[in-house]
Amino acid sequence: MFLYYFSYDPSSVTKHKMSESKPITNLFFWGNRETKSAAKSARKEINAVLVEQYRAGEKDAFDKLYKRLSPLVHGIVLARVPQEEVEDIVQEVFISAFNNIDRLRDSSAVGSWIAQIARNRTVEFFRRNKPAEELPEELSGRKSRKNEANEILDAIRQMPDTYRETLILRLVEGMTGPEIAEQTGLTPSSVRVNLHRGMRMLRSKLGIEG
Amino acid sequence: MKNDYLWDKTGSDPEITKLENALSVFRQKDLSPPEIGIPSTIADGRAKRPFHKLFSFGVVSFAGLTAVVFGLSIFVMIRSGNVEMVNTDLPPGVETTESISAAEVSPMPEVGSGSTMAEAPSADANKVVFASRKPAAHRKSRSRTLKNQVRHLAAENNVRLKPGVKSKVVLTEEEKYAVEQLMLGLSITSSNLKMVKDKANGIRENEISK
Repeated sequence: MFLYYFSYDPSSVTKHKMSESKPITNLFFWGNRETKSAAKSARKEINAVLVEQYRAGEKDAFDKLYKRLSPLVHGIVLARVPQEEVEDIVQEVFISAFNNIDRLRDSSAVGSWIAQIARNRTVEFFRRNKPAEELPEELSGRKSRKNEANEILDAIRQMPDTYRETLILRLVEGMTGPEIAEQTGLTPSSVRVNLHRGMRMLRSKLGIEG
Repeated sequence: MKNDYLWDKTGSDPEITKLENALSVFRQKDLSPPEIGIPSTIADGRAKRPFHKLFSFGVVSFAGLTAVVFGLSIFVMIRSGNVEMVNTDLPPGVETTESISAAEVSPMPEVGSGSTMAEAPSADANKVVFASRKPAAHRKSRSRTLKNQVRHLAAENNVRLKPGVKSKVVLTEEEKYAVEQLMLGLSITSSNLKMVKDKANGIRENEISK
């Protein structure tokens, strides 16, 4: 009997694309700490290399970095601002960050650096704009799924910042716990705690028995 | 297994899978990067820090090496004594720290003249001044070389030199007569000058008495 798993390919263009399923024979593969830490350092190295390439003037490096980091920025911004403003703010964050790439001292920490820029940008958004009024819910069947999603998203947005951001990155953007830790600069244990406590809180809000 | 799925998507959890499916509507769809030009700092080449760092390091290291080589060369020159050492204790006009008597450096009389070396003239007038450019050991070796030359020449001319005594210059009859005539002339000149002086003083006394 084969066990299949979906592996994350660091060199893939988008994080949402799953690599082809591969059969595994070693049940302890995912328990291999050396493999995990090697994968983590490899992702950081790739980011650092792309940053240096961008600094050298290669515009393709920026495209690749955007595709690697946009889910992170999108999730952080989505956790704070209305959905209709998210795309514009994500674009502004990247334009602002890469125009000031000289300020980044450690190339391998580009993920946590741009995450902080995104958070600051959302704070600036609320300083400039008043919170938008919520649109009335539509009763069509095609929108029921969106209503359910809005309800869940609203529940997540009412949580503390740490839980909110981690849950959105996990549930909306599809990032795993180790990926969240690496990109945001948090420790894996902190991310794990945030995920479990956040999920527990979400279950209680939604009335789901865990 | 449920915990693992929340952390790194291992195993399965229908509840979390349901939440993921519901919230996938908010996932970032457009992954095309914004149009961003190369920042001016990168275009100007300021982003190429490693090269500048290397360049500045190279300049500093080269300057340091040059200074070290220069200092060592000066040190070696001083040690070898090529630099001129001036003895400030000597009276003005005398640049040497050593004097050599005229008897040691004046040309020897011709062979067959039967004369010994002439008496040495006044030591002060005939001191030969040399600028000392070498250490004392070398100067001593030079004086010894000259003494050897004197002895050699004396041996050739059958002149016996007393050890430790400076040789006197002996004049011939003609030379003696010439010296006498010279001295006579000098005495006549001095007496005439004295008579002129007395007459001048006498005229003054007569004028005063008047």
